[in-house]
Amino acid sequence: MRTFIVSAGGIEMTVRLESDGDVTVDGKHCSVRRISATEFSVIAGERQIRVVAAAEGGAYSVIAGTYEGTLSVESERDRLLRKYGRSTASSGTRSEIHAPMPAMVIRIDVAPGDTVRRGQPLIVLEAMKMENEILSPGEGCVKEVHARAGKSVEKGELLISFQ
Amino acid sequence: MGRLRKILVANRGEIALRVMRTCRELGLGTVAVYSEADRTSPHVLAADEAVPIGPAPSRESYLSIDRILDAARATGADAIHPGYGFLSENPLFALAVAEAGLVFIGPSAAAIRAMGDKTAARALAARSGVPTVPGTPGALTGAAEAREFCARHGYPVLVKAAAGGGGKGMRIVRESRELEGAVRAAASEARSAFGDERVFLEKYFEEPRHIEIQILADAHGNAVHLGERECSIQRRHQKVIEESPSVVVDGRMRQRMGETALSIARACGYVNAGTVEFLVDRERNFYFLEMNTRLQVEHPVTELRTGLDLVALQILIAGGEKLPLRQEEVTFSGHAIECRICAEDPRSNFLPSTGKIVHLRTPAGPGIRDDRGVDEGGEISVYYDPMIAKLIAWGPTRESAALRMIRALREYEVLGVKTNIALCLFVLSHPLFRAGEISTHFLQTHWNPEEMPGGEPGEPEAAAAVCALIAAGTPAPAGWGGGGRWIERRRDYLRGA
Repeated sequence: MRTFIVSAGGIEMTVRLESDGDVTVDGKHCSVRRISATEFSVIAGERQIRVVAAAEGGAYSVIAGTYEGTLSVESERDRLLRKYGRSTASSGTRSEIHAPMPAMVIRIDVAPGDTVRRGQPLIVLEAMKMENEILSPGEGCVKEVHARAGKSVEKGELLISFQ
Repeated sequence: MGRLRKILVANRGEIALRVMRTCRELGLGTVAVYSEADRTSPHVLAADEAVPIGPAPSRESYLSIDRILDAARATGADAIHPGYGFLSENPLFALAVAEAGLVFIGPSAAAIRAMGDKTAARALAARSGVPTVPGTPGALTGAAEAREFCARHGYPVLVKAAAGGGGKGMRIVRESRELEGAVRAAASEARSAFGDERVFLEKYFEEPRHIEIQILADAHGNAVHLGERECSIQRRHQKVIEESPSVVVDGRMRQRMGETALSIARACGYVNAGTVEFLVDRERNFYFLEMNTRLQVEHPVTELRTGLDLVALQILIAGGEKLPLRQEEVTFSGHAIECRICAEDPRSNFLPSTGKIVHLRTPAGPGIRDDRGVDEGGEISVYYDPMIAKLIAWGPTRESAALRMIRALREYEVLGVKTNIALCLFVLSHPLFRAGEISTHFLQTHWNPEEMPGGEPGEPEAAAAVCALIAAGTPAPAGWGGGGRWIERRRDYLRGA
């Protein structure tokens, strides 16, 4: 099963590909059949919607019934990596590491008093069936580890603080 | 068809195809000319013979009189149809064709010239007793003349710069106390914009309609009109939607406008198909604007309503034959609407949208005609106009034609370039359009891209599902392949029962 975030004119939808053309969009099931390279039929509930779509410069031009728009697609994994990348970059000068997303703490690689290099793995989180290694944004000495392996953390929760 | 055997079409796109279709029906040979950009364009693929006439820019190809005449000589064509645009209203082309011993399928160079100069054409119309938009005869000589004009024709009036253009030095005056100030302001604006402070007055119409009359005249003195087309739905003076009949034209008005149009045609010795354009005010007075000395883009509207083939009649007239019908034999049936489907983006101020058409599905079914000059895989390039097609719907009534057009517009699918289909749907669905309450100001008053339909519930979700599938690179099973799964579920269902 793969999950994608699809953006259409400022609205985001979460699309999960189940199997064989069975798809859920924000939790609602629909069946998709390909008719030709650009043509599809989507049945959601009893409603049948003809959809035509073609890739256009990194996005997709789509006509679906009376709807017309340009949609962009990002896999959930890419989305998380992007968010994570941004959060580490922006916390480069801060002395605390916070959870970038609600997650389960899988492993902690440092202890108080450790000196760490920039880019050194600090902690491994799991979210949405993917592991994400959190790397040190800079050099420093670990003051305190607030997270515990096997426990879940909320988004923004303090994980590690530096001296 | 008399002496004509083979016709060269000095054009491209949908109009070249449309002319060639009639030639085929009449058993006439067809010659296409094409630029380097059009080697595989539909109009070339439809022709019996095809001749290259130069590089993509039209100045070096479709506007080259010499190259087109060379192509006609090389292929032995005996007549040239100019279509619309390009050389169709160039008197030098009509003259050169005639001097080359070929037949020009259109009016004489003299008639094109007489109608080509817009002010001279209005003067000719006025001399023939045809009403023109009232205006002062020349630049204003003083405040007294301005007051007298307004007293005679009533407010509002428009103050216009004699050297004008682009709306500079233009003022709308709605009351007498505004008049002198507006004239002074317009004159000073004109002086700084054009170095010429002369201004004149014209009657201003609040909600004018653009209504035109199609005429046909042969070389034997016979002429008929084929009724009106209303082309009020315009964007920046470009027609977008045309229809016939007009909701404001009744039988008597049609007869009066038709006779007026024919009197203008007679005054300039007009032979072949032509269109006389009028401005119509709220009181249903009509005023001559100009005459188009060629086949119009929107001619199919008239064809669907009269059952006539205008290109066939053009060829017949050019071949020297008599018009095969008299005025009382022209009959009208039902209502026809045309939408010009253009590659432009209504969300970005109608910027032309160029590119390859990667998906195209066109409507069909009762009462629908799709005159198109590009196919799937074809390119909308920067060199030529961005019209993809003209979609024409016919119905027994205006309402049925409008509903049919909406249905057909929804069937029209174009991917690869942006189109104005949403704009056409907006107009056709608008209650004021449906009530027939339109004017040339309709789009500037009512169109707002923010109000473009965002789709019905479930449609954006269906679009998202498809995009995610394509992005995953694991396309959904084809309709056939789905069968296996269906059987499996069916078995489950039986077991469960």
